Amino acid sequence: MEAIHLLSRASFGPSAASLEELQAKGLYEWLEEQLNAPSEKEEEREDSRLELALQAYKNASLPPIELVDHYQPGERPLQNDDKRPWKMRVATVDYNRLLSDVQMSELTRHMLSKFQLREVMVDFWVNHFNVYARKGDTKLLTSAWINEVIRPHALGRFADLLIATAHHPAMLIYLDNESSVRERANNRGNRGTNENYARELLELHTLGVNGGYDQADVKETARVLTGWSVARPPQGEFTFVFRAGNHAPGTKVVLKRAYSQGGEAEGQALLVALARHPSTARHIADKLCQRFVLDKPTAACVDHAAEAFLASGGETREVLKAIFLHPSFWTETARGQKYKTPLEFVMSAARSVNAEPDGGHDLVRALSKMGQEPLMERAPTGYPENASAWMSSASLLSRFQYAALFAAQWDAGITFDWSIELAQERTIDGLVATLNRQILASVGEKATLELLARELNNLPSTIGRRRLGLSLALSSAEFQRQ
Amino acid sequence: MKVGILGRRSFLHIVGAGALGSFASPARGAEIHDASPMVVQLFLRGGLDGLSAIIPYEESIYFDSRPNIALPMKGKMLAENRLDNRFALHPALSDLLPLYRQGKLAVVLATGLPKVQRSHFDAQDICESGGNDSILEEGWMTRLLADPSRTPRPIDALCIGTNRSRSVLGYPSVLTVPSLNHFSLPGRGKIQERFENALTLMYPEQNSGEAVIDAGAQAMRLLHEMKLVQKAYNGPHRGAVYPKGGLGKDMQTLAELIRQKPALAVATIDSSGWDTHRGQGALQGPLSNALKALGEAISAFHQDLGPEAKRVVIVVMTEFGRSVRENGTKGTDHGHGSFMMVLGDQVRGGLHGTWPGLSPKNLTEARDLRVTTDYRRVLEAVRLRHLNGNKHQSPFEEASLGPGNMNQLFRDRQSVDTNLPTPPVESRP
Repeated sequence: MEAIHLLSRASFGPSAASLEELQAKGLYEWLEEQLNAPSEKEEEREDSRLELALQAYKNASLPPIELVDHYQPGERPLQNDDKRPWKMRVATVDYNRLLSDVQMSELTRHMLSKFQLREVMVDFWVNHFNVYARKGDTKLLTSAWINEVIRPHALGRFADLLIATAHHPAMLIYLDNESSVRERANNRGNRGTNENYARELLELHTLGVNGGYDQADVKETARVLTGWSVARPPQGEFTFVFRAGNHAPGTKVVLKRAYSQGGEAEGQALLVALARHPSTARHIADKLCQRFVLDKPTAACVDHAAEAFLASGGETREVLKAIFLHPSFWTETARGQKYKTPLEFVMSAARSVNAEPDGGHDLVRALSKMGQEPLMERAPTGYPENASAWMSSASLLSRFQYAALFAAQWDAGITFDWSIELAQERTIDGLVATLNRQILASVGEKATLELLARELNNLPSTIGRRRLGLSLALSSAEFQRQ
Repeated sequence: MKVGILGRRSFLHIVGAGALGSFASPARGAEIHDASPMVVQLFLRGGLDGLSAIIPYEESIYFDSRPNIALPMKGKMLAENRLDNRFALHPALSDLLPLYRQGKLAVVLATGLPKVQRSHFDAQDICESGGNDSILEEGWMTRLLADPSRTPRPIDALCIGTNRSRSVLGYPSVLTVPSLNHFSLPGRGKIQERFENALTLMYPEQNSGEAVIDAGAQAMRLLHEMKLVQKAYNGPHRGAVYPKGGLGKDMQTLAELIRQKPALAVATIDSSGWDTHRGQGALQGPLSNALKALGEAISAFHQDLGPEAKRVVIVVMTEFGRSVRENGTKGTDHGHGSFMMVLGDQVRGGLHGTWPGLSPKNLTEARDLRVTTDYRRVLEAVRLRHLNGNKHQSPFEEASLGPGNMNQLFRDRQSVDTNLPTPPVESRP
């Protein structure tokens, strides 16, 4: 049961293979391996199934400029002799197809990667540093944002991740910092700072809402970051640019500390100070404990994780290790006491029967109906992690609906092979026992298993029983818990 | 600090299993003669810039602080959208003018949280939990529904959307309805039938106190109820035309559900996209477009409901207003005071509340509109006067209530009050 508990939190749900691997390696070795995951490129070289499944969506990872040529209507790349100016070419991009491919690449990795803890952390950071994929030019930048900012730092040093997010055009556009400039009057009227990014940087990304800053700190932070902007085509290729002329002059004071370096270095120094601030340690530790342990984690657990954060200089690996090796993680009161988000529901269903994406985009539509379309949360908080957000009538009904589609493999966005154990079972008791073991990780309650047996008994065909059995197992309360 | 006012026990007491189990019984028809007053909370997420919606056109500071985004209210435009001798409605909200002139729409000036809170998420959570400066465990509507002098109904709380609103957090029986469509289980024939049957057995209505069990039971109720709703649905009534987009569609869904579910006591509906940090525009632009859709949606909703509108009060609110000065990107940053709107048959239309003025010495932290009416004063008036709530069962902590007096927000029931004088707006020197 320890292995199941670990896999239900540190991965997108146990699969037969991951369970076997964890049991063979033991907790420590497994955890070390997960914490030291190779780069995605290396992983793909070693994992042909993953590589093949990603093929269908691979255009989405082209650089932003090339995306424009590859996602024109009609699915054919633009010819090199397309001499239309940038503005014309970008106006005809098929963003729906592009963003669906980006979303599916992510879902494919979440579902199939053997380095599940990294995948879970990618989802964690994608929400922590939320960017809405449909805001302005962010549409072209989401893939770069994930592959260049989130993924390389998912298990690394928090400061590196924070600094990378602050420099990326996707974030600079999403929270308006690209156009925040020093106060001055010109012929277009007053211009000046925009506090949007500065506030979320303090409130959401680092210190936390009770982290000890005030409105003056927000304002000063905004001034420190004036001039952090984006070079767009045709002048640039969506790269970070520091516009010195827009940077507010003079000394700024944030959290009682003066910043007077000037230039980009000033913002850099502020980000480093924020990344190692004790409030940040506590905020990140608290959120990680919520993700991995309990919606309302114990103070002991959060303290321990925050200490690991400070002691290691903000190494995410060390914080995670501290959480997974802390007694709070393993107590009975933590097991099965969190609910799956829609993403976790869909991913764990797929992993339980060793499914893979079918090359289309139905999985994105399914998640959209459940209220958690990847990369499409508008609010800078990202999608919520806690149960209260996801346990609603509409949300559960959409899970039941998906469970039926999934078992029938109708427009469910996945494909799997019934040659799994389930198909071999000839008796109803055998089928129910296998469903319990394989889908419900052996925590099916007596009433649920009896209900399953009774209902399956009413169906004459083996195929019908299999489908109904799987739909019901995926719809059960047990399967919503993690 | 988190305060849990209701334990699970109190719910079992208040919302007995009998009441919850009766949804499929033939007693449905009986509810129609028993229509209850209800409140709709329309929450504008992101922090609506109140100064762009209710324009203090006599204040020169308004124009000085907003060189690019102030609404140029004068001449014909002012005459058409004027609310009184100091305030005018954004022309994009003109669909609300008939309701205002009929005396059904109240605008409460300078409302908000009693203490400054510039985080969207905390401010929204505090508002929806009915708190003062901290987030309470349960939603304000949850505590309202738990008033023991109230008779609970099988379907009395509704959220339009996929997820539950924070305002009903902790209430065991809430329907969340994203739209009028897509309410069936996939598949056909025997398997589908068995699946539905088995799910009903798997999730019996029982007030288990565990989120997933209760949500599963409500999901099955939703499935049954929405099949009936869909069968009876034949489009908006009285030629109401909803604006395109999410809010219009959601208001249309809500109107139909109100028509078909007379036992509803509370409903929540959300509108997002009000966080106008950049390029918000004035007469045209993103904020103007959003206001246009808001006005059209409310107006269509009112028309669609027709006689049913008598029992409905809509409260329009947002988590905070925005900075008085425009920022460097022709937008506005997070501020403090905003405004609320209350629409209903018994509402005393017109302007309410106290206008604090825009001169720097009257602003909060020298930058934001001061709050002169605690948002809870408005909600409490709706609860007492429209929902006939018990005076001694307030969902709000009396001692922490901030400024404001909303005794005039509703007309007296008995009085035939036809010429509806607008209550004078108090003013600070």
